[in-house]
Amino acid sequence: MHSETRIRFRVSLLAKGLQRMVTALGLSKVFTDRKRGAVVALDEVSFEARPGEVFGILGVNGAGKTTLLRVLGTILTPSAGDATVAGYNIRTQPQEVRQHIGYLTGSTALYGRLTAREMLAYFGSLYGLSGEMLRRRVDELVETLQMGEFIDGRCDRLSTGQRQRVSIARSIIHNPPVMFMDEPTAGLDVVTSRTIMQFIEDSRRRGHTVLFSTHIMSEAERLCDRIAVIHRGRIVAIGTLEELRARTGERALELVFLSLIGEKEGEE
Amino acid sequence: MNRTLVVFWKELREVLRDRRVLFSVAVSPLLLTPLLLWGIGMMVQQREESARKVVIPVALVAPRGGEEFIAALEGGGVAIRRVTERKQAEAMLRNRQVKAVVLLDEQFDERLHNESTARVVVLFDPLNDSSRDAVQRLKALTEHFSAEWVQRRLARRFIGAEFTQPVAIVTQTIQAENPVGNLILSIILPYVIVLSAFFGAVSPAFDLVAGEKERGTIETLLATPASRRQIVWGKFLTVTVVCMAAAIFAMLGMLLAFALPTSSRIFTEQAGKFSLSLPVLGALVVTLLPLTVFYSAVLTIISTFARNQKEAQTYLIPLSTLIVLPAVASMFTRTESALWLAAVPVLNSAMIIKQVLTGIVEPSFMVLSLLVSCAVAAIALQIATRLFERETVLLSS
Repeated sequence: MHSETRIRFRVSLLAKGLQRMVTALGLSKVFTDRKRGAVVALDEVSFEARPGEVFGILGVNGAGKTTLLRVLGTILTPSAGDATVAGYNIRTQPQEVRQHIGYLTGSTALYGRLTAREMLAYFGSLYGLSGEMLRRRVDELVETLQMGEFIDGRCDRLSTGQRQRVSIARSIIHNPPVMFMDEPTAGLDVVTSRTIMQFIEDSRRRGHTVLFSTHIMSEAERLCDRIAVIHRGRIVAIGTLEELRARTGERALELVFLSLIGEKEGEE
Repeated sequence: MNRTLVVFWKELREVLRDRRVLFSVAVSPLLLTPLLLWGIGMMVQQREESARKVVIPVALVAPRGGEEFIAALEGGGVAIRRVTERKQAEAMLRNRQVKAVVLLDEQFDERLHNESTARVVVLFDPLNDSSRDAVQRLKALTEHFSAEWVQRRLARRFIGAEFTQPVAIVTQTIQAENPVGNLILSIILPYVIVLSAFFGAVSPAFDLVAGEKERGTIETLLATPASRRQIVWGKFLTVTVVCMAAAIFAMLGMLLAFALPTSSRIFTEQAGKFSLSLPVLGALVVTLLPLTVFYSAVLTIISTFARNQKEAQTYLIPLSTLIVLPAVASMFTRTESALWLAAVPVLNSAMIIKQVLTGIVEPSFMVLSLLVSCAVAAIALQIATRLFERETVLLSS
């Protein structure tokens, strides 16, 4: 059997019954750059994430975290390997994959000339919600995320914290079972970051799977059930915090992380 | 609702809230264009009136006679300053004490009465506007004086005025309801429409894709179930609507400007009678449709390819030349133009608009032109869609 076909077969077997909400096997992504030639952004990345799990992707800037989430979110096509998200294949069922994920990044901006309500209605419509169902879902999120005061205000007049709450609401308007969060607290103050952290914890409580990429050790330490350390496009270690500590013999996650990267660099 | 339409309605809502777009697409053509033309018309009118009222100082060198002619000049608003020497008169002209110098023939009266030609020499400063105006006034007065003397000479021989005009030509327009104004508009309107449609859509087109990349909203949009084709078509539809609106508002603005009596005088005394019938409007919209699709697709291509709006603006400069040149060419191209011009994008649309406005429609030119425009628009749209589906282009910011 051809290796690609074999991988696809194994991925579908693993995802069966949705024991694994996200399954990646040998995912690679190579970009062609005019100056640098072929750049390997992801190098045979494999992992699984379970329902109700916050799965951390920890790495320095440029390690491949964003590319990994973009490939899993079907925004980018993998150069090799395969994956399923919520039981759907990223290569053959990209639309279904996108229908079942919520995508939130730290650099996410809002449409300034729309009101927060219009913004939510727009994304709701893109996810196939309409009429009374859409209205009810928006009202529900307004209450849950306490957006009543500013829901009818234009997005370009909202504060950073208010914008972030609208972004969260936008990403979960369709109640997705899987959340992809790419450095969602980047550039935010402590109070606003706390809203995001609470949201991630709530998602876990609701049984959702959260793929959470970050380079902030304290966030990973506080939130993640398991952590994948990614370096130069490769996953160098996966495990619970305790497992990683045991493997490196370090206590602080920062030292664990540096040690794992060092291990990898040492091998090379 | 279809996701293309979801994207379209959202983009249209945002565009309608963008003051820059509203100003360039609606306010400027509907308010500023008529005001500008009205203002120019007022200035021209005032200048003409003041030119008629003003008394022109002219130095006169007339050795003998010419009193009747001089009286005719004075009666026509010319203030005569008699001098004896030509050099002195020239000096006065150089010092701008007078606007022109009139030199009368020594035998002026004899020649006039002996049925010969009396000569009037006029010296003027070609670099001075008022000196040139003075020459025009002197020419008109001299011609009037001359015509009177022709009548007198003929009357002396008992000959009627018809003697000097064996044949008279009388021209009559077959379009009694929309005469000269229609002709002037048919030259200006195609140019204005094809340019307004393009430049009106630049800002929203660049905001819709390059702007989304710049602001970082494109990634979340790509993570929704909407396919890239649905997204780009929704955006493209919005730009097409803005293009069409810009063209229609530009046309209405020009018609409004022509309806104002003062501004219409710049072009013609009869322009106020101009009117557009519904079939003509329908034909204009049909012509504009492939043109706006083409514009919209081209602008979407640039917007998708550029990393941000600033970069898109730099690509706009060479592209503008490609749009402006055929638009300008349409003003100087005859309405009944060669068939090969139907294969030149932009120019072909401008020429159809011209034909529709003058009522000289050539079916073969129109059909070929529409076919070419549709084909070019379809190719541009296909390129825009393909480009939007390229992940490297879309995520470059």
